[in-house]
Amino acid sequence: MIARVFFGLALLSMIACLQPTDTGVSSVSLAGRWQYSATEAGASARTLNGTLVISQQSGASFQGTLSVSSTNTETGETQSLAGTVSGSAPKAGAIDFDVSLEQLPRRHVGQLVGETLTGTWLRLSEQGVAATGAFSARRLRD
Amino acid sequence: MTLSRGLAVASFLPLLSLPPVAEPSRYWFDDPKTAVEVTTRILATGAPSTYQVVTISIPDGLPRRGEGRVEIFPRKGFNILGTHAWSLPALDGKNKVIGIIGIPASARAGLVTAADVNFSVAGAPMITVAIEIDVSLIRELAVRMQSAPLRVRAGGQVTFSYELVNTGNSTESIETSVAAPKGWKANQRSGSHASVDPDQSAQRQVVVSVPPGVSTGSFFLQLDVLDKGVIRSSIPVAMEIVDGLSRQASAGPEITIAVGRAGNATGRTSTITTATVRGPLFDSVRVDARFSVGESDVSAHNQLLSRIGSYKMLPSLALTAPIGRVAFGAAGNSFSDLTGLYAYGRGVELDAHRPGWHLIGLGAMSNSSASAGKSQPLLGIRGDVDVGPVRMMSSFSHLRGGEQSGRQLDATSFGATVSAGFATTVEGEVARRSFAGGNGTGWSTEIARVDSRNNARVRITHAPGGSEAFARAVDEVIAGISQIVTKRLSFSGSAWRLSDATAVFSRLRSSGWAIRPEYRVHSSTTVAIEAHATVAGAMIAAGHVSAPSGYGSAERQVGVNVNTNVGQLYASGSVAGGYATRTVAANRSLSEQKSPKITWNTMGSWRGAQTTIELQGRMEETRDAGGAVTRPSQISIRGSRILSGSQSRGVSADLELQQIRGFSARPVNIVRAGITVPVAGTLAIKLLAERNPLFTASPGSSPWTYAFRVEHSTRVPMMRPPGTSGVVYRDLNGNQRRDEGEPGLDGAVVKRGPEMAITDANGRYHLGGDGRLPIVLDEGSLPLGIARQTVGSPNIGVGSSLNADIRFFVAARSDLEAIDVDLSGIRAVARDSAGREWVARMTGATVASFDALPPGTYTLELDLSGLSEPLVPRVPLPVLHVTPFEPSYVTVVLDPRPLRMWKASSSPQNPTR
Repeated sequence: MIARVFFGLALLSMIACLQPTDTGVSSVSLAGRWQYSATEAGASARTLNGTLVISQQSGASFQGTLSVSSTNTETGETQSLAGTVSGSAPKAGAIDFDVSLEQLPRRHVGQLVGETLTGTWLRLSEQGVAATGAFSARRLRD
Repeated sequence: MTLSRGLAVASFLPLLSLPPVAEPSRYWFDDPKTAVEVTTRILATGAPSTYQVVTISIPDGLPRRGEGRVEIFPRKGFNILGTHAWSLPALDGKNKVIGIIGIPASARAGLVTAADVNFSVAGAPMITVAIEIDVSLIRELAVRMQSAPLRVRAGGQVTFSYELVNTGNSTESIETSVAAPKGWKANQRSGSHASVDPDQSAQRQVVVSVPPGVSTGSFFLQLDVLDKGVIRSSIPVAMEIVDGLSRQASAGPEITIAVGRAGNATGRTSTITTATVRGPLFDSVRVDARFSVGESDVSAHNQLLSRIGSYKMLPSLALTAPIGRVAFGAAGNSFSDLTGLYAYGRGVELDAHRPGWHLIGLGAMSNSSASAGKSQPLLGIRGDVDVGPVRMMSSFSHLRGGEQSGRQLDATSFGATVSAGFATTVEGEVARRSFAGGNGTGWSTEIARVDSRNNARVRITHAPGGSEAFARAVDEVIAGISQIVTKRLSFSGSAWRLSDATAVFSRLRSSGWAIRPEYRVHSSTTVAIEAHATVAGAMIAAGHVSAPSGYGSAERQVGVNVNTNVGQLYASGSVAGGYATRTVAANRSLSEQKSPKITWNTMGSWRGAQTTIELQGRMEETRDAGGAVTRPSQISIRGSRILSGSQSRGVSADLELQQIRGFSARPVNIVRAGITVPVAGTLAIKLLAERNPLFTASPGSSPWTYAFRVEHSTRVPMMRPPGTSGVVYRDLNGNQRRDEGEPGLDGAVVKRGPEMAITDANGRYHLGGDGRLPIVLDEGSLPLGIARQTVGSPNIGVGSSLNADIRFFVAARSDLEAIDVDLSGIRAVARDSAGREWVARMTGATVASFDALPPGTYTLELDLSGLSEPLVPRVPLPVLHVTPFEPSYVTVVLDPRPLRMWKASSSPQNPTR
C-alpha cells in the first residue's frame, strides 16, 4: 500500500515536470515596490506595515517578497516578518496571491484601482479559519 | 539438603579419624598381677555441626559380670546420637562399642573433650576414658555496614560505622584499612588491628574528612580486611557529597540586563535595552519580570535583534506560587468559548486554585494606538467549584478590544462539568452575550473521553457575535479522536465545520476533515498516511473595499510521512499530492482554478556533543488551468558548534544558509552567522550578521545587517531565606524536647520533597521546598545505634536506641500445679505515641526483647495465638517506659484460660464448675 502511494506520487511528480511552463499574458503590470498595510481582526488583532516587492511577472502569474512589522493592537507587541509572495490575476479582474509569512500562507484577494491594490485576506489552518483581515498596497515610485 | 549433606559427610569421617596417640594407664580389677593398660582418651577429628562415629575399645580383662556398664556422658554442647550405654554382660565376646557424637555448631577449633566414657563394674574401680575431638578450623568473618550512602558536605566530616562479625570457630586477628580519594583523610578511631572471638562482633568507626572544594556527587571509599597482609574482604563504601544548604536556598532570582544593537552599511542603527528578573523570589514564589527600552522601525533590524534575544517587551511582573499566579503589566486571559477568549491588554491577571475550586480574572485596558484607537476596559472573572461529583462554573466578562477594533462583548454564563463514568466527561455552558451588532443566547456542549490509550472529543458551540465578540466563530462543530489501536498502530482524525461573520466578511465558512494513521515500523521509525480535505468560503461584507464579492478555497491531499531516529541522526520526509481549487467571485462572474498540487518536505539533523547539523528542504508544485507550473522551493542548512567550554557557558558559533527559489528571477540566498562569547563569569557577548534579501526594500540590493548583544547576568539572594530552619539534636534524656546541654548532630540529612539539606556542626539545617510537605530525617545518615526519637519537626531529637524486655510469668492454674508452656510463639509489639511499631523477639524461655527502642513510653500488644497452651495476659497490660537511666522492662502475667467442667448430666447451658 505504502509502495503504491510512493509510486503514484512519484509518477504524478514526473508528469508534472514534463509539462511546459505557460508564461500567459497579463493585462496589468504589478512588478515593483508597494507600500503594504493590513489589519488582522479577531483573537489576535494586529496591524501590519511593510514593503511588498513584486520582482517578476510572467503572464498572469507573479512572484515576489513581503517584509512587514506586525504590531498587536491590544498589547503593543511588535515583531518583524518576511516571506514570499506568489499569485495571479485571474480573468474575473481580481488579484489573488498567497503570502507565506508564517507556516500557513495568507490568501489575499483584491482589486487594482489606479495605483492602489485593496482587498481582504484570510489564513486557513487545518481546523478552519485562523485569521482574517483587510489589506491595501500603494505603489511606490523610486 | 544441608542436613543430609552433613550426615553424609559424617558417615565417612570416622573411618578417617583414627586416634593418633593415647597415653595408657594401668588398671587391675581382681588381682594386681592381672593389671592391664587402658588408654585414657580416644581421639577423633570433625567439623562443627557434624556427627562423628567413635570406636570405644573395652579394656581387656574388664570383668563381664553383675551390673557392669559402659556409658558415654557428653560434655556441654555435645550430644550422643543413638545408644549411649551398654551392659557389660551383654557385650560378652566383644571388645569394642561404637558411639556417635554430635559436634555443636559453636564448637571452637582445636582439641576439645566431647564426652567421657565410664566403664563401671561392681567391686572394681571405675575406668574413665575421655573422647577428645580435634574440631576443624572454620574461618568466617563478616563485615556489616549500612547500605545507604553516607552524605556529607564538601569540607565536612562524616563518621561511618561497621561491624566485624566472627561466625567462624576461632579467634580472628585481622587488620583493616580504608582507601579514600586523594586529599581525603580516613581515621580509624579504634586503630587498624582487631581481634574478634568466635560468635562475637566488634564495632569499628572510621572518621572521613572531605577536603573543601570537592564537587557534589558520589564517591567511593574502599574498606579492606587483611589477614597477614592478604586481603580477605574488600567492601566499597558509597559517599555522596551534597550541598551544604538546601539547593533552593542559594538560588535567588537571576537579573539579566542586555543591550542589543543592530545596524547595516548605511549607518542606520537600532538599539533595544532589556532587563529581566527570573527565579525564586522567596519560598515557593517565583518572579518573572521584564522591561525594555527602545524599538526599531526597520524590519531587518527587528528580526535580527529578536534572533539574539533583544526585542520590545511590554513591561510585566508575574509572581507564581503553588496556589496560583498573578501578573501585572502585560496581562491576558481566556474565560470560556462564550464569555471571551484571548483578551489581552495592560493590567492585572489572576489565576488561583486550590483543591475544589479555581478562579481566574482579568482587569486590564486594551492598548491605545493610532490604529486601535483609545484604550478600553477588559474585565472578566471565572470561578469553578466542585459540588460533589459536579464542577460548577460561572463566568462574567466585559471586554472591549480597543476603540477601533470593533471587538466587544458583555457576557454572563453558567455551566457544569460532570463525570459520566468510563473516563467520560460531559460539559455544558449557557451564556447571554451582548456584542456590537446585537445580543443573543450562546451555548456550548462537549463530551470527551480521555484515558491512557484514547482521546475523543466532540464540541459544539453557538456564540452569537462570533470572532468579533471574543469567540472563535458564531457556530462551530469540532470532533477529534486519537487512539492507540495496537502497540504499533495509532490513529488520529478530526472533522470540523464553522461559520462566522466579521467586519470584513459577511459570511465566512469552513469545513474539513483530516486523518492520520501511523504505524511504528521500528522503535525509532514511524510511517504515517496523511489525508485531509478543506473547503472555505468567504463573502466580503457589503460596502467594504475591493471589487471581489467573495472567494473560496478547497484542497484535497493525501501523502505519506516517514520519521526515523537512529542514534544521533534524525530524518523526516513527507510527500503529498492532490488538488487545490481557488475561486474568486467578482463583477458577477466566477473564476475557478483547479490545480494539481504536490508538496515535498524533508528534514535531517545530526546532533553530537559539540556539533549540530540540520538540513531542510521543501518544494511545492502547482499547475494552473493553462498548464503554467509554479515550483517554489526552499533548502537550508544550519550548523552550530561549541568551540570551547560547556554548552551553557562556552564559546559557540552558528551558521545558516538558506536558498529560496521560485519567487524572483534569481534565487534568494540568505546567509546568517553568529557567535556567542562568554567574556567573564556573568558577562556574555553575542554577535550576529545576516544577509537577507527578503527584508530588502529595493529589488536587487541585499546589504548585510549586523547585530550584537552585550548581556550581564547576576543571581541575587532571595528576599528572605526560603524554607524552614531547624536543628537535629541528641535527646539525651529522652523527653522529646531539646534541653540545655543537648548537643546538635553534625552531618544528619533532612529532606522535604526533592529538597535536601545536611546539618552543620551545631546540628542546624535550613531546608527549602514546599512548606506543606513534611520534613523527613534520613535515618541512614545517623551514626550506628542512633535513631530518631521525636515526632514532628523542625527540631528533631535523636538518641541511642535502647534495649527493653518483657518478662513473662505464667501463673499457676488454681488447685493445680504450675504449667509448663513453651512461650516462643508469643508475638509482642510496642507502639509509641505516633503509632510506630516495634516487634520484640524471644531471647529466653520467658523473655521477649526489643533491641533498639528510642526512649519514650510504649503501649504493648500481645498475640498469644501461637502458643500451644491457651493463655491470656492479665489486663491491663503495663506500659513500657524506656529511659537511658534505668533498665527498661515490664512483667506480664499470663493466666491459663479458666477451665469449665460439666457433670455428665448437666448441660452447657447450666454448667457446674
